[in-house]
Amino acid sequence: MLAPALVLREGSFDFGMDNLFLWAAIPAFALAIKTRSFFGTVALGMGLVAAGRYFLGG
Amino acid sequence: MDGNAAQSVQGREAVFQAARKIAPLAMGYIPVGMAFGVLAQKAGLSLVNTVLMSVLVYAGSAQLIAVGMFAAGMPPLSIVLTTFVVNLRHLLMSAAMTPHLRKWGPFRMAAFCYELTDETFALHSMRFGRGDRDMRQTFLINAMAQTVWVLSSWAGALAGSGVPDVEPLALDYALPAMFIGLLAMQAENGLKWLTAGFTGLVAIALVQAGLDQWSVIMATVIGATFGAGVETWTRK
Repeated sequence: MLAPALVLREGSFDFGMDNLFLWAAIPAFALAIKTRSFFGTVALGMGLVAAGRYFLGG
Repeated sequence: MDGNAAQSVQGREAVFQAARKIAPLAMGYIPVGMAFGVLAQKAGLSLVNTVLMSVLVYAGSAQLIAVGMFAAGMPPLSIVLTTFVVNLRHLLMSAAMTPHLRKWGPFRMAAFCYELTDETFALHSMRFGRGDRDMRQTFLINAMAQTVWVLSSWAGALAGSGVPDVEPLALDYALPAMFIGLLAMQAENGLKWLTAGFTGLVAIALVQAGLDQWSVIMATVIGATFGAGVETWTRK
């Protein structure tokens, strides 16, 4: 369920800069591997996507 | 209360102690619980069903997956199997806990394990490792943690109708972010990452092939077979 959510958007591949889901996943993965913190990862991921949408108008 | 009655605290002090222990955990439960509540409301679950799910299922990951799949219109069997697989880890957690609880008897053990989550498991592992096995404290911690979870999902479900759009709050990212957390917790070696990557590719291919509804369960079976195959093959 994760992989399609990150790279597919409305049925087609999207590796563009505006695919926030994909780019937010990178620091989220880093934090998850480093801290093993489940809720910390969720909070960071959601925070990044929310911030990205707010500042970039995505 | 067992032999070390002198150690165990009672009444108000016990409640304060338990509250202090679950405070960091509640910091995570409140936002994720509310996110679950809002998403459940958006997926069309009633308030009663949302709260009941938090009472009966009491597993953040399984509940978020279930509402995500409800919203995507996945078949019920697929939802049941997926949440079962995702929650299989609790079987191991419960098994790891029970040696500490032998004196408690099966009924209390079951009550304890039902309220076990990833976070309370980590907390109790630490406590039991220190020899802190006070039953009253243990159940207080569990009950308070679940109360926080149930109340936050209830608050989220109530707030859901007032949230016109989930996107500014990135609530639609709760599920992908949660999977990242779960994956990182469970994939501790190269083979598991390889299997996860392969399963992801299969899932993408299945969605692209138009098999949206069955992609999750099919990718899981294909990916697990692949992982088991590679493991057997590399051992020889």
